[in-house]
This record gives sequence, structure tokens and C-alpha cells, in this order.
Amino acid sequence: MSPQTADAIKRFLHAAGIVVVLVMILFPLYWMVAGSLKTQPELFAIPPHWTWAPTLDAYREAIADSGVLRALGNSLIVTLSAVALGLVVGVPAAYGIARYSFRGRREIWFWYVTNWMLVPVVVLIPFYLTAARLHMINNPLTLIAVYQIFIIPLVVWLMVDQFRSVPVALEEAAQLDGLNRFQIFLRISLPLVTPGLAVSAVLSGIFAWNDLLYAFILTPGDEVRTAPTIALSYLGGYTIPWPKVMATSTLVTAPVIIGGIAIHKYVARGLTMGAVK
Amino acid sequence: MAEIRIDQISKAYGAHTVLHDITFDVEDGEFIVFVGPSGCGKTTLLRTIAGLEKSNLGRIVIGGKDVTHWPPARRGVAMVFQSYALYPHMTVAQNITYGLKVNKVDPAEIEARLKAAATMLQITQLLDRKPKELSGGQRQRVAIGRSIVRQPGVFLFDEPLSNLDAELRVQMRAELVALHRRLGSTMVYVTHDQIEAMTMANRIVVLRDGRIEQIGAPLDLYHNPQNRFVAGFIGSPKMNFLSVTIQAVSDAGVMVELPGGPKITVPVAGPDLVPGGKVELGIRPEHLLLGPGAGAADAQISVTATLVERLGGETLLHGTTRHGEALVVRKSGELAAHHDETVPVGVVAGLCYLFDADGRSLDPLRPREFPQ
Ligand SMILES: Nc1ncnc2c1ncn2[C@@H]1O[C@H](COP(=O)(O)OP(=O)(O)OP(=O)(O)O)[C@@H](O)[C@H]1O
Ligand SMILES: [Mg+2]
Repeated sequence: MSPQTADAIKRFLHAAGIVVVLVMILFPLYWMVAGSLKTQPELFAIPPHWTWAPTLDAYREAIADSGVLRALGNSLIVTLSAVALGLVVGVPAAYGIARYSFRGRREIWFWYVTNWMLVPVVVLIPFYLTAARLHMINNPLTLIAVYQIFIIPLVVWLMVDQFRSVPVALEEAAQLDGLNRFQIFLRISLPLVTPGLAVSAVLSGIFAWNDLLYAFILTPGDEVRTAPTIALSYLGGYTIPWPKVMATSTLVTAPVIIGGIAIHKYVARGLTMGAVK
Repeated sequence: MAEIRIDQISKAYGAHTVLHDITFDVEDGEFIVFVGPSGCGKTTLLRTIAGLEKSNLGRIVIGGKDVTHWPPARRGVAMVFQSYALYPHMTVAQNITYGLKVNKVDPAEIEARLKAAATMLQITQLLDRKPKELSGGQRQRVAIGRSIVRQPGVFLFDEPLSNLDAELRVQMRAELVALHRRLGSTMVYVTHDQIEAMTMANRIVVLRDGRIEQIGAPLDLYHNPQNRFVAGFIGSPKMNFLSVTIQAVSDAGVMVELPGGPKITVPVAGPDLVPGGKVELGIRPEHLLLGPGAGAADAQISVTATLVERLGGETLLHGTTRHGEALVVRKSGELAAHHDETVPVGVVAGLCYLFDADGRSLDPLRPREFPQ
């Protein structure tokens, strides 16, 4: 076998691998979106039809169901608040860890980062019991607080590296320019890590938006439930309205996909800089 | 007035002392250069003056005020960093004026200072660009501009030219000297390029392992190094060093035996020397004589050429003595010698230096007379 053929085979296998992975990722998405545009009988046609007359009926149904819109609104509020709180706490913490040397700095960093690896279900019961004691079940604040356990470590983990890659000389120049510590953080370092901030915000946002487990247990009430749990609520009856489930799922997934596309450039760079030169 | 007094400054990182009891004064308007090998503490000393580093002991006095415990911004110093440290998210104009804005200087005044600095540094057409759209030399100018507009009493430079190519370095060197003349401010400049030190400084501070080896005007260091380290550090190509044996010590000086046997009496005082002991003889490459002049010198040694570099205006002959010690001879004009040839090299006793076992330079009995 000549090296050229070997090379061609290698490239072919590489391409084939990518196609397999893509299909595995994209097919469920396709199935969800396609299903949301079908009628119930169409959805269950065997073999599935590649072409059909798309209908928005499922979306009309989902939106008409006031629960879906309210759930989307709840999700939006919880997600934005959780992300905002996570950034407000996590970013200065990351800056402190990146720039100051103090006793226990490594330990704190390690504690943050390992928190992130916590298996969510492990702490679910204690959280449920605590929230119940405090009469905080069905309170969105509970979700916002609980999400910090995952968001703050994520933000710290990402932002410590970001701040470390800002040259110290820049901050020293600012010091000579007469800026105080807080001004240096706010006006010099922070603007230089905006890509990292965007990535942190979107990743934490996706986490909060996607969460089903905590939301299902801690805020099950109709008034306060979030979007991922709403699709689940259809699964109770005799017949499951699959197109409506798919339409709701599509509505819930869309922001995640848009967020992912918005930051893919930075994530592809391995979350390292590029902004600071 | 912005004279600087460095008073018994000591600095340690953990158990590692990097500055040992440094004391000297910089006069108002002086251009002073710190040189020394890598890691000797130049940057640390400069940063201590800037206030970016705290010394463990000692005082820093700038313009008559003890600023030892003052934050950098209050000290009236501006610093140009090796990496330029321009704010990447701001334009050139914003970079230059940011400090003034923060300090609430009147906007009209800011504008005037920006204009003046930009004109002086010829960066007027770059004011709206971001740092990443500038060449190294342009960035350097912006960094200098940022320090000028603050109208500091003292400018601090940490190897500001080391990231530039050779040609630009020569140009910026001249511009910095012109700038100093124009502003008349005190400037403290760190480099390990001794050409920069020689050409720019009013006085040079030679540092080594956190200690001052010598302070003096460039030519003073060149001609009267106090020790072997300074003798070897200042000058390019370096001073030649030969290990020699003391033959006799008299009122006329110290007689030593050169490689191959010739004896020479170097007119220096050697009260503690005894015949039979070893000293080091130093002689600069341009003070060794080649060709017809060699015979007229006080002594000749044979040198086998290993490399002859013809630079047009001058020729450098690298060779070894009979004892195998390396030697460089510098001769203006051209030279017919070639590789592997053994040539006589003339040594003038009055231009030699002797260094005792501790590396100290022995005092000359009379001032050395350097050829014009
Ligand atoms: N933050 C620090 N922590 C510990 N040691 C340090 C620190 N900064 C500098 N040093 C040490 O202090 C000594 C002096 O460093 P300094 O940077 O002043 O040297 P320098 O003369 O500027 O060298 P160069 O010519 O390489 O820039 C070195 O041995 C260095 O390793
Ligand atoms: Mg240095």
C-alpha cells in the first residue's frame, strides 16, 4: 500500500468518524424538531416519512397551554438571576485567587473546582429537606441558590485562568497611572476577559436552563415550575401528545443551541484567551 | 527637583536575598543606567524605586520626600515596561491619557499634553489605533508617551529596547537621549546591553548578585574599573585576562612574567603582594599592539591566531597564548595575518591592569595614559 493510499484511507476513516458522531448528535435533534412539525399519526408512521406537510399545530397547542409560556418565563427569570448571582460572586473570587497569594489559596481553588464534580443527586435529598424546613419549596429563590453550587465553581474555574493570562505588567502600569485595586479590576482586567465572561455566563446559563432534577423536586408547583419540567407533565395522561412534547422541547432547547453557537468560537479555542494580546 | 536617594535598601524573596544594602544617590536630571548580568537585581531595584516592590529594609527618598511606604502613583515616577504594557482594549490616545483622566486632570490640559507628546514622538497619525495594530517601535513610543504626559519627576525604564530589532534599537537609543536632553528629567534605565549603558548614561551602576560593584561615568568605569568583574563586564570585546606570576614588587610597580617568558613591570602599587604569587593581568583588546608597532612595546608575546575577523574599519584577531589562554586583539584598519599563524603581540606596561586574588584592581602609581 502506497503512503498516498494509506493517507487517503486515514482521511476517509476520519471523515466517517465525524459523520457518525454528527449523526448521533444531530439525529435526536432532527427527530425532535421534525416531530414537533408533525401530527400524531404522521409521527408514528412506519417507516417514517422523509417528506410530509409540516404543521405548526403542535406549537399552537403548546403556546395555547398557558403553562408552557409561564414555565418558559420562570426558566428565564431563574436562569438570568442564577447566572447574574454566580458571576457577581464568582468573578471577583476568581480574580482574588488569580492575583493575590494568600494562605490556603490552592485549597480554596481545589474546593471550588471539586464542588463542580459533585453528583447532583447526592445532595438532592438534603437540599429538599432543608428547603422544606425553611418553607422554601416552590420558591424560585431556592433554585437560584442551589444552582450556585454548580455555577460558582464553574465561573471560578474558568475565570481564574482568564485573569491569570492578563499580564501583571498591565495592572502595574494601571497602578502607576493611579488606579486603585478595584478600578484596576473593573476597568483593566475585566474588559480583557470578556470572552471568558461570555463563556462562563452561557455555560452556567445552559446548566440552569437545562436543570430538570432540582426543578422537578424543589419547584414542582404549576406557578413556579420551569420549562424542562413542563414537557414531563404531559407524560401523565392516557395518550401522550408527542408532537406537543416535541414542540415544547424544541422551544426549551432553542436558547441552549443559540447560546452554544454564540460561544462555540471561544470554546473551540479550548477556553483559553485570544482576547488578551 | 527629583533627585533620588537609595538608602541601604535590602530585599529578599523568602530566604533568597536579591538586593544587599544598596546605597547611592541619583542627581536631579541625571540619566543613570543599571547594568549587570541576568538575575543581578536590576529590575527588582527599579521596581522598588517605582513602589511596585517593597524593600525589607532601607529608605527611598525622591525629591526630598521619603516615599518608602507610598503607593506607586504618589511617587511622581513613570515607568516604561519591557513588554510596553499598553492597555489592549484602549486606543493609543486613550492609553496615553488614561492616567490623567483617572486623576481628573482638566480635559483641555489633557488634550494639550496628548498633542505635545504625540508630536514629540511622531505618533500623531496613530492615535486612533489599538496597540495590536502597531509595530514594536510604535508601541514603544506610545509607552513612552504615556509616561511623558504624566510629567513625572523621574522616568523608570526596564529594558525598553530589548524587544526591538537592532536598527530600531539604535534609533530609539538616540531618541531617548534626545528626550532626556529635552525634558531634563531624572531617568533611571535598566539594561544588560552595555553599549546602551555606555552611550546613554551620565553614570552607570554596575550590579552583581544584588550588590553594587561600581558606580561611575561610562568612561571612568571603562578606564578605571575597581575590580575584575567591572573590567570584564564593561567593554566589547571584553578585556583579556592572563594569569601571571609575580616576579618582584618595587617602587616602579609589580613585575610579572608573561606567557612565554617575557617580563614586564606594571606601574601599580602592590603592597600586599609577594614574589611567586599569582595575579591576573588585564589588558583591553585595543591596547595590544600588532604589526610594526608591536616591536616598540614593553614586551612581546606570541599569539596563535584561531580566527581573524575583518570588519573593514577594524580587525579582530582571536588567538591563544603559549599557555593556551584565549586572547583578542583589536586593530584599527586591516591586518594581513591569517588563521593558524603565530604573530608577535606587543604589550604596553602602562596600559595593563593587575587584579589581586580577591579580584580587586591594584591602584595605578600614576594615571594611565590612554592612546588617543
Ligand atoms: N517574584 C519573585 N519571587 C522570587 N524571586 C524573584 C522574584 N522576582 C525576582 N526574583 C529573583 O530575584 C533576582 C533578581 O531578579 P531581577 O528580575 O531583579 O533580575 P534582573 O537583574 O532584572 O535580571 P534580567 O537581566 O534577567 O532581567 C533573581 O534571582 C530572581 O530569580
Ligand atoms: Mg530584569
